[in-house]
This record gives sequence, C-alpha cells and structure tokens, in this order.
Amino acid sequence: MNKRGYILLKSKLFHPDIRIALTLAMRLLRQELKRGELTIILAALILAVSSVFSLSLFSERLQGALQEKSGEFLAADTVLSASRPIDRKWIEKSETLGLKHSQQVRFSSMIFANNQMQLASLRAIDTAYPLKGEMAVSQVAWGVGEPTEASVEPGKIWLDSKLVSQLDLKVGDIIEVGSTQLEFEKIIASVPDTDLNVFNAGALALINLDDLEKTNVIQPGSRVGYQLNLTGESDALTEFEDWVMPLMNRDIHRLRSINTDSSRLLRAVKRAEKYFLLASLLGIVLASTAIAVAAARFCERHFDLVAILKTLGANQLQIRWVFVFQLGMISLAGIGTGLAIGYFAQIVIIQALQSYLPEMIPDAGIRPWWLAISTGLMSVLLFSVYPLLKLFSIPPLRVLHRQMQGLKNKDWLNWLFSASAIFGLMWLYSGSLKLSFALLVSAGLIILILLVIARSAIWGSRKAGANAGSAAKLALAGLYRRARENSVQLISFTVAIELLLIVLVLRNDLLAEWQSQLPEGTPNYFAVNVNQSEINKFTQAYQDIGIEIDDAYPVTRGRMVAVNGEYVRDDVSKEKAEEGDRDGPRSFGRELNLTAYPDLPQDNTLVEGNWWQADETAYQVSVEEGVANRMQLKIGDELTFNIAGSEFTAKISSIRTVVWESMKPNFFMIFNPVVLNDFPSTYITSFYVPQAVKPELHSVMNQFPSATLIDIDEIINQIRDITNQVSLAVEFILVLVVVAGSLVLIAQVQASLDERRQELVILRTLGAKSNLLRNSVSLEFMILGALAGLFAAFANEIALYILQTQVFNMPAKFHWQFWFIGPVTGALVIGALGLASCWKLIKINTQALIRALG
Amino acid sequence: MSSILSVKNLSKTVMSNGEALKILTDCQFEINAGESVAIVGRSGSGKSTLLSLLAGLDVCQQGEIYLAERALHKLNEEERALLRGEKVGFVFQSFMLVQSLTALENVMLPLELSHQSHARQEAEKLLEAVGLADRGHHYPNQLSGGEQQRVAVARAFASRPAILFADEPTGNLDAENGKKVEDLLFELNQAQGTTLVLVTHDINLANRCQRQLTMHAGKLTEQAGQDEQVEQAGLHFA
Repeated sequence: MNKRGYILLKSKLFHPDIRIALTLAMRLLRQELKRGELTIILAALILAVSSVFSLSLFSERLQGALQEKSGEFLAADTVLSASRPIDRKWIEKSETLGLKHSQQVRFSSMIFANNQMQLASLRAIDTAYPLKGEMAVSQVAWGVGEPTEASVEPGKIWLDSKLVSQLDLKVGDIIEVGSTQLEFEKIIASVPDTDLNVFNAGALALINLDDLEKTNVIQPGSRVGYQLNLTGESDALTEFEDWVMPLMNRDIHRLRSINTDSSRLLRAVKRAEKYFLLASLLGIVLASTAIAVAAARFCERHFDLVAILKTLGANQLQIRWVFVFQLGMISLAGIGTGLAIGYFAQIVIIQALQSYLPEMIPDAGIRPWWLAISTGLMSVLLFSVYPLLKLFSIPPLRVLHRQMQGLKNKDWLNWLFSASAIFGLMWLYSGSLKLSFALLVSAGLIILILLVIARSAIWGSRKAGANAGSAAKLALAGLYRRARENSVQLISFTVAIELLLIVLVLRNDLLAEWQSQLPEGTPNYFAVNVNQSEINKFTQAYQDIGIEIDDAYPVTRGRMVAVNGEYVRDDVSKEKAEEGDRDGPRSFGRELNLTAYPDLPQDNTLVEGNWWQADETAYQVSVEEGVANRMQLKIGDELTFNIAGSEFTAKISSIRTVVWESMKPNFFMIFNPVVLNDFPSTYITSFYVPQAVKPELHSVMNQFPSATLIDIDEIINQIRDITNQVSLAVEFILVLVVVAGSLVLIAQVQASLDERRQELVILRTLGAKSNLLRNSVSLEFMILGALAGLFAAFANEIALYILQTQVFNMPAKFHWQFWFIGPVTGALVIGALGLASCWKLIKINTQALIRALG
Repeated sequence: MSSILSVKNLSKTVMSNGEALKILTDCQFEINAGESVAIVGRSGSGKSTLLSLLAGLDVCQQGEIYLAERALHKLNEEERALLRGEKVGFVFQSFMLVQSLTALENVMLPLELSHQSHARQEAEKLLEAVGLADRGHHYPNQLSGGEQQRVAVARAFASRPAILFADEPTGNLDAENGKKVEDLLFELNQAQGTTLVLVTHDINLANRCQRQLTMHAGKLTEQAGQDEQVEQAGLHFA
C-alpha cells in the first residue's frame, strides 16, 4: 500500500470497522488480481464502459459531422422559406439567440447580354451565404468545379455553365438584370443547396442581395421566394423553431431543418442512427450480461470467505464493507480504464479513418462521459445486488457444511434486479421509455420460451445418452445433471449468439442496400426540357461523345382530377403526397409530371397488374405503389386527368414500385404511349458522364439551347461519402459487439468451472483417462453450443423480421444460412472455449486437482 | 474451576423428506475453563451438529447453552458473531484458511476484526510458536496440509480465546503432521489456559483430553471406558 493510502487508513475519518474492511478488501484484491480471479469482471466492466464511451463518443462526433454534412444540402441547419418577405422581428429573434443567419431571395427573370436574352433562376444572396457547405466555381463552362470561399459582391453576377454557353459569355462581360447592369465575375459549378427537383431546375445566376432593389424586377404579384438560413447551437435553433412555429402561416411559410428534411441522404443517416442505437444497446446488454455473470461468480467464490469471517467474529458492517470496497475499487478501476481505452480507441479510429471522414470532426459533448460512467456503475451495482445479498446471508455454519447457501427461494429478486438493470441501461442509452419497455418485454418472453425449450432439450439428451458411447454418455449425463445451470447457460449462449447474428445480418443488409443504391456508373447528369423534335438529335450528339442514353421520357404537366368519376383534388393535397417520406416529385396536388412509355422503366417493379403492349390503344396508366396506397387506388380504377384544359380518362392497369434513390427520372403516373401522343411534351433523361468527357458537354449543349443540364455529381459524391462513413462506423460497432458477446461466452464457461473441477477430481480419482475427460467436456460444451446456435437462428429470424419491417423499413428476408452457421459456429466456438477453460484441469494430476479445490 | 460452557436439555430436529429427524436429544453437560474435552462418536451421530451449536455457528432451537457466562441461545446472529470473536477459536478439518491472504494475514485476521493493536507482531509471534516464522508471506496454496493446519491453529489462538473448538483437526493430515498439530493444540491449551473442545475419530487424540463425551444417535454419554468407546463408536487407532 502506498504512503497516501496508509495515511488515509490511519486517519480517524473512518469508523474502525470500515477501516479494517478497507484494509482487508485491499489485501484480498491484491492477491485476487494476481491470481486472475477478477479478470472476467474487470474485462467485462472495461469492455462495457469503453464500448459505450467510444461508441457514443465516436457516434456523437460522427453524427455531428454527418449533420454538418447534411446541413450542407440546405446550406444551413434550418431554413425558413416564405412567399413574402420575412418579418424583421424574426431575424432579430434569431440574432438574440446567437444564431448566424443568411438571407436570400429567389425569383426567375430574363437576363440580357451580347444582344441575347435567357430565362434564369436568380438568387440574390448576402455575403454570409452559404452558412454550411461551399460553392464551387470553374474556369470554363462545364469545367471541373473548385471550391471557393469568395462571395458575390455588389455589382457582380455569377452564372452557371448553361447561361455562359447560351449567352456566349466571358468573364468581365456586362449582364443586364432588370434595370441594373452587373459584371459577370465567375462561373458557378455548384452550390450546396442545389434544387434537387430536376423538373423545376433552371439556369442559375447569383447576385448580391444589395443589388436586388436596383434591378426593379420584383413587383407586386411577382412570384418570389424569400429564405432565411440559420445555423448555430442546436438548443438555440430548437428555441427559435419553437418560437417561430406558432407565428407561421402554413400557406406562406415553410420550415426545414436537417432533422426534418426527408432527403434520401437524411434517410440513410437516420437509418444508420437507428442501427447505432440498436447495436449499441445490444452491445451494452451483452457486456452487462458478462458483468452479471462475472459478478455472480465473484460473489460465489467468496462464500467460504464470508463463512470464515463470520466464524472469526466479523460483524455485518465489516463483511459488507469488505465487498462494497472490493466492488467499488473494481468499478473504479474498470470505469477508469474503460474511459481511457474508450477515449484512445475513438482517437485511433478517427485517425485511422481520417481520409474517409470529414475534415472537421466536431467535439462530442458531456453525454458520452456520463453515459459510460453510469453504464459502469449501474451494471456493477444492479447486477451485484442479488449476488451480494446472497453472499451476506451465507451462514457461518458453511465452515462445517460446505453445501450451505444463503438466500433460498429468492431467485425472483435476481430477475427483478437484472431486469431493472437492463431496462435502466436501455432507457439511459436510448432515452426512449417505450422502446426500452418493448425490448425488455420481448426479451423476457423470448427467454421464457427458450427456457422451456432448453429444459426439454436437456431432458431429451438424457434418453439419447443411454445409447451413446462412454464420452457422449458422460457428456449427456453432465448436461442432464446440471439441467438448471445448463439451461441458464444455454439461454446466455443463445442470447449472445442471437444478438451477434442480429448485428451482423443488419450490418450486411444495410451495407448491401447502401452500396446497391449508388453503384459505379450511376447517372450524374439530368437533362430536362429537351424538345420533342430534338430528342433523337440529342441522343445522337451524346452518342458521338461516347455517352449512351438509354431512356428518355416525354414529360407533360397535368392534373389528376378524378377517380372513378369522383373529383379528388382536395384529397390529393401536397401535404398528403409528402407524407410518404419522399423528396422526389413535389408537384402532387397541383400539377404532376406525366409521362408515357412503352416499357416498364428500369428499377421499377410491378407489384400488381400487367404492363401494356407498346401498341395498345386503350388508355392505361401505371401508378406508383405509395400513391396507390395513400389514395386507395386499385387495378381497374379509372383516373381522369386534365392537360392544358383537355380531359381524358385512363384505367389503372398496373401498380409498381419505384427506386427513388436511383438517380433516374421517376414518375408517379406512367401512361401507355398512345395517351400522350396528342399533347406537346419535352423530354427528360439521365446519364453518366465520366470526368474526362465533361469538358465536351459545353459544345454538345450549345446545340440544344432550350435544354437544361443538371450536374448531380456533387450530390452523389456526398451521399457516397456519408454512406462510406456510416459503413465504417457500422463495422466498428460490429467488432465491439463481437468482443462483448465473446466475453459473455467466456464468463459463462468460467462460471461453471468450479463445479466441473469437483467432478473432474472424482472422475480422475476413479481412473478416467484424460482422453475421455477431454472428449466429454468438449462434447458437453459442443452440444450446448449447437443447441444455442440453433435457438439463436430461430430467435434471430423472428427478431430480424420485426426489426427490418418495423424499425428499418427494409424488406424482410429469410436468412437460411444462419440456421446452418449458428449451430456449427456455436458448437465449435463454445466447444473450444469450454475445452480451453477446462484444459488445465484435465491436464493436471489428481493430487494437484484436489489441492486446487482448497 | 468455573464453568465456561454449560448445556441444558439441548435438542435439535431437522426436516428430511418431509419427516422430522431428531439429531440431538436432551444433551446436558458442563465444561470447565481450561479443560480439554473430546466429543467422539460414529459418523452421523450428531457430533458436528453439537459442535456447531456449542460454538454459536448454528441456532439453538430447544434447550439452553451458556458460553462464557452468556446465554448463547438468546443471542442473535450479530451478538453470536461478537461473542465468537471475543471468546471462541476454531480449527477445522479442511483448515478453512482464506486463500487470498498470506499465512501471516490469516493469523492477523481475528486480531484485526476485534480491533486489537499490534496484530502483526502478535501474529508473527504465533507463527513462530507454531514453527512457521519463515512462511508468513506464503499463501495457503504454497503450504503443505500440515503447515496450513498449523497456521489455522495459530489463527485460532490469536485472539486468546477462552474456548477453542476443533472439528477433526488432524483428519486431513498424515500421522507425523497430525501429531505436530495435536501437540500444538495441547501446548497452547496449557500455555494460554484455553478450554479445548475437540470432535474427533482419532482415539489417540481423544485419549489426550481430560474428558470424553460420546455421541450415539443424538444422545450424549460421558466418560465411558476406552474399550467400550472403541466398541460403541467404531473408533480405531490412527
């Protein structure tokens, strides 16, 4: 003991009994640490704390980075848009809350240069724009963009490649916008808040907000969009949102934030967050199970000590404090080491993944710290209560009758404390009472079912053992003899394997889904407004520069006015269309982008009905599944549409699913070709342009002045970046969960060693050879492992079905391979662990074995 | 001589397979301070049960036990523990040393639990007395069975108990080590004036005691002749 500890002991601060208990606890700890008896409980505690800490630290920082990245899509954290100027008081409120703001005004206007004019989507921005993300400019039209921190100064105008091409401009030219003249300064390659609605996209021009008034473009009745972009602390943003919401007029104002935005990117992040949460919860449950098993074993190993202490006259206070100090010191060491390891693990991971992660990873808050410390304390305290009560109640008579135990028929107390611990941990981590309760109840039910199955299986093994060889007979007899302990052990193995399988399967499914969304060659350009008469020439022009355009869709705007003759305009509101968690087409309820096509588009799948023959003359329409569900449309229903004043009716012949993330034109309604023959239309298409070919786009697009080309490369790259980051985080969590699961298995195997040691002594004394003992031990653990693997595969299938359909909104799959992998891996891993743990016992001679029994 | 242990009408019944099984029936005797008494009898005759009741390890259901002038049968667990710490020493067949403490720390344990100063010096003296002065820093698993039992004897005498209970103290030892432990017990009994109550199958050990109490089917008879004891209790010479 060091000098400081000695002084502390000698001080009169403590009651003499407590002082003695502390001395004794330290002596016991010293030797037990040396003998490795605290390894499992310490390792489990360190793992629980370090995994919770590193996980929450890492995921909090990563989520911060992801949100930062997501914010780039809005160029802010929160965007308030309005069709009227934004109230000055609202801006002042944001300032008082310490938020940074930027304003912009969006409108369409003709711009003039070189005696030509073009319609442009103008944005008047201030110098604070963009609050998040960055603008990119290129040296030449359609050239590669380079990030810029410059802003559009008064008197200047920035134009996108299309306008530069169409107006044949060079930097320095004078552009007329309304009544003012501005100097063309830079070519815009990209802005962070690109309008993702390709149907609304126009050629972009940026001017300074101060020049807006001079243009005199905005007159009463002009269609203008006003925007207030905000960024800052999340609490301040929430306060602003809460303050402004009641003041907003739904017809005029719209509030979007990175948390409410339903972009495909945010969906990926949200799904990843759910995975983080679930995997972390399962990891914590596993690690705390290991702590529970280890704490129970720790107490059991001290039954004799308590009996001796009581015999020697120790009072309850002394005995309690001996173990409270021991567990306290273990907790302190475990939590401290866990925090240190977790912190450094997180730094190492972030450094290792530096090239994949955003440059600036924000610091995490205080949450990971208290979360990790509370996890450690709660695990030790709640999981130790029952074993400690049992320990304290050991009668002194145990010194004469070693089989004597404390607390009888109080197993319910153990379940109560364990359930409270697991519930507390889940609640602490998820913050959701409902989720924690649901998980606890389902886990309870699964354990109950497994308990019944496990007992039946173990009893069944007794009959099987009657006809088996000697090692198998011994193994099966062992299983039956320890039926109660083995069924508990079997459930622990099952739960550990099941949780591992769940995390593994979800990780595979999530990664596969993300990777399949944006494969190499995903279209990175949309072309819209291609004239009907020019579509063949357009396709050919691209073919000449080596780009194949497979699908070009005619687009005509129209309204759906009736279903089966009943007018439904009110039912098909914009809000209802948005309820479906889509950010694709936004025109539903006003005008729809309608198309006609002979074949079922790629990435669309028929779920009902049949696709038409190309020459079919009866009017037919194929409806997207989400719309069909929301509006309760079915095959055979007749939908009436109005295009430019003419109405026609088409019968629903099919319902199909659409992959909205495919980066291809997608439609709610597709007609057979004959329907739109008489209506004028423009074409839309998407295609992949390799980097090397990009400079040639300039000359191609010059041939089609009415067409607009939209570069979505930046968006695709951002989505890829984020899914890559999330994938790496998912891998990291998987590793932690595997380690936690392994620890549970080791702790459980270790827990049964004391009893096995006694049995081995008897068998060895009776002349059993090492070979027989080795085979019977391996077989017993292998049978347990195989059964656990089988049960885990079963439980895994049910849990995954619920998780995939209810939590992750993914299609449910049957994972047949795990019905094989589960039992085989379970048998091999648990068999090997069991054998490894008993190896020393099998190898040493009987005399030494007896001596080791104490 | 004054009585250190007095037992009146002591009975003990346990439930076995739903039936009441009488382990002890109306036991009655007194032991004087400084005496050495052997309790002998066949396996299952109730010797250990009697010992556990006398030492306050088990709860007395029926009858009265007075230990060092305290009514043991009226004390609660905490009071019994205190009394054990002050007045009682134990030696067990399976040594019952704390495996995580050194020999010295094991001997210091009862002294520290009862807040005695100079525990280390006292324990060192006792280890020297049992011939293990140089093994104080060894852990039990580094000692032989005989050495472990000598440490246990040193621990039992550490708090200078008024009475020492020993349950088959030589049962796990060979003849040589058994003899050493036996000698130690009687030497310390003489030196400290400690009352010695032994449960044993070893007739040599029993014969060294001043009195012998024989248990037979839960009943106690005293001072039977040696031959009769051998016949009744199935004893043998160790």
